[in-house]
Amino acid sequence: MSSPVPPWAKISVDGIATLDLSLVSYPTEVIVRTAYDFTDRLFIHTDPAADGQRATVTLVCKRGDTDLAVLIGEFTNALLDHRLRRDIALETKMIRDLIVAQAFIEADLLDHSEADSDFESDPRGISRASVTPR
Amino acid sequence: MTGRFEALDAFVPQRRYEFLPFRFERLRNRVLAVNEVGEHLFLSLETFSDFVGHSLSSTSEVYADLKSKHFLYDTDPQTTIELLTTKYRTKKSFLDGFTKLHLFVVSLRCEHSCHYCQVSRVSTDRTQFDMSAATAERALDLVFRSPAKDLKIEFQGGEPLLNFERIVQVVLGAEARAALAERNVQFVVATNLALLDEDMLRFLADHRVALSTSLDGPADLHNVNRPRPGNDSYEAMLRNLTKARAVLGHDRVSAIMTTTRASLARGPDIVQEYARLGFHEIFLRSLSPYGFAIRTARRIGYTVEEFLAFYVETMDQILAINRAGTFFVETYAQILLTKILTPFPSYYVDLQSPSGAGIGAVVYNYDGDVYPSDESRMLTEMGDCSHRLGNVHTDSYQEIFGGKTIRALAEASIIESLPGCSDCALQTYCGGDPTFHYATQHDMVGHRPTSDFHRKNAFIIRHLLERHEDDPSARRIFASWVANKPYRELLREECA
Repeated sequence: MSSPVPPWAKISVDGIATLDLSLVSYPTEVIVRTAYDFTDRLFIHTDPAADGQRATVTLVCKRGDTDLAVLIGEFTNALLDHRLRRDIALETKMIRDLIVAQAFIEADLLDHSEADSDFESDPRGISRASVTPR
Repeated sequence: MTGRFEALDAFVPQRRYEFLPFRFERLRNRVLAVNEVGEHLFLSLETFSDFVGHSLSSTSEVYADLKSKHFLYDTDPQTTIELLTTKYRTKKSFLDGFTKLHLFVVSLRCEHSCHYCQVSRVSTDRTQFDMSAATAERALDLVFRSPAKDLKIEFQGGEPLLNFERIVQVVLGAEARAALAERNVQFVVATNLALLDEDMLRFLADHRVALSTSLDGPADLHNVNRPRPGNDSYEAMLRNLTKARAVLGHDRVSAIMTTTRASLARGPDIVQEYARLGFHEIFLRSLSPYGFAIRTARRIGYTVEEFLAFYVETMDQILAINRAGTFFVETYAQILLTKILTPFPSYYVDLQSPSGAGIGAVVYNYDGDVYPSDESRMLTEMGDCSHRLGNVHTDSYQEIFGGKTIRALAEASIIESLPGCSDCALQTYCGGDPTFHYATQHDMVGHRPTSDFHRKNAFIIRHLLERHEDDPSARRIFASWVANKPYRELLREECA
């Protein structure tokens, strides 16, 4: 018995699944990265709509004995994870680039003014801050 | 409050935490998170959801773990970035010094006819397949053009002892050059040991040359896998193993095994044989898709899944031996665990990014052709010379080590930017193998979802990570493997 078809997908009588995806929720990069991971099990076509807001993803099983409904569920969950990966990558891009560049470059890209300063210059304002009174 | 320390409240972060670069994947009912320098944590689904939703409590224990392992920061990140930079540089330090391992194929001749040999071989009387003195000298010139302070020269074949004269020439020549250039050089001969005699042993001992031999398991299995006239490969190996250990030292002779279909049901026997012969490690190697191994694949080959089942079963046996008090290492796991549990890199070329093909190791063939790996040499034997870097007689160091081929290999194996790898949580532990993917998928980058290289490594890395997380006794054994000493000794050092 095959699994129920998720409500966000349609499967034709020929066994071809279509997903209508929001490009706001799932940018093209996210869809392509997800699709790549499934290219061992599925033939996949992506077709962005003319308005640039949505995309149609077509999925066809490579093997006849695969449960397409299950794969649609896995594909959709994988979209979420790839969306999250993209968000984390964007949020951490500057630091990642700095780490890699600083690791290989001979010059120093980091601002050491704080670390190299003495207590009199007090760059963090430690003497001015009122910590817990003793 | 009165006293010398601030109240706990004083340490509560004053700002929302931010992420540091990390990747993740779901493993059954939890999430594996790995940061840019390979530090990892398993998180429950709920914790992960809180973490990525920026709603994790800063007073929770897991918050402290995530902070100390560099997954988040909540103060000025400069010091953290400096630490991560140092760790990142250390992880990539295999690149320092460029090519360190130089393999000399001094003869293609071999008196064995192993079914799985990835190296082409010819019968023992065809001396035109021996490396000449002039070729060896020119190859040595290239070895010492490498900027590496520490060099290793490994002699391979065929059976390299069939051209021992060339080994002597290269060892003496390299020692003289190393003394002048203030370099350190080590030597290894990869040999089946069958032809080792007293004079050879004396020379090897005098020049501190180590031996690496092949042992596929008990006599019956070894002799089936490694036929030679007289069908006595095991007996010849064993006879000379004892002699070699007596002269060179017990640990100066190591062994590697190759898994064939006949090995799959014999994991415990193989491990027992290694332990019985006094080896402290075993490298559970799968077949390579090159050379004779391709022609005999139907008879001796297996699927990746069959190999992995063998690997897990044999690993159980190896861990049991360790639990019983004997220090015994699975070498591939040791390589991976070093990457997983320490800031240090692996010098195993297949698990580097970029791959060490040419830039970590290089092969000088008997005829002077230079290859980035033994596997790429085999491609030429199979009629495809696209991975040949040049020839010691006709090409300069710059042409060989700075040419288009070596650059293409490096570019195709930087997994930080490869499809399927760039997002992978296991990225820091894995590597690219452009020659494998070219040989099996006709593309140096390769298609990860259908790649046997990817399936094998991803499975083994996950297996080791989960075992380390869930099995305290395995965790102790893995710590001892990474330190390369028995756990009891490790504990003693810690207590001292």
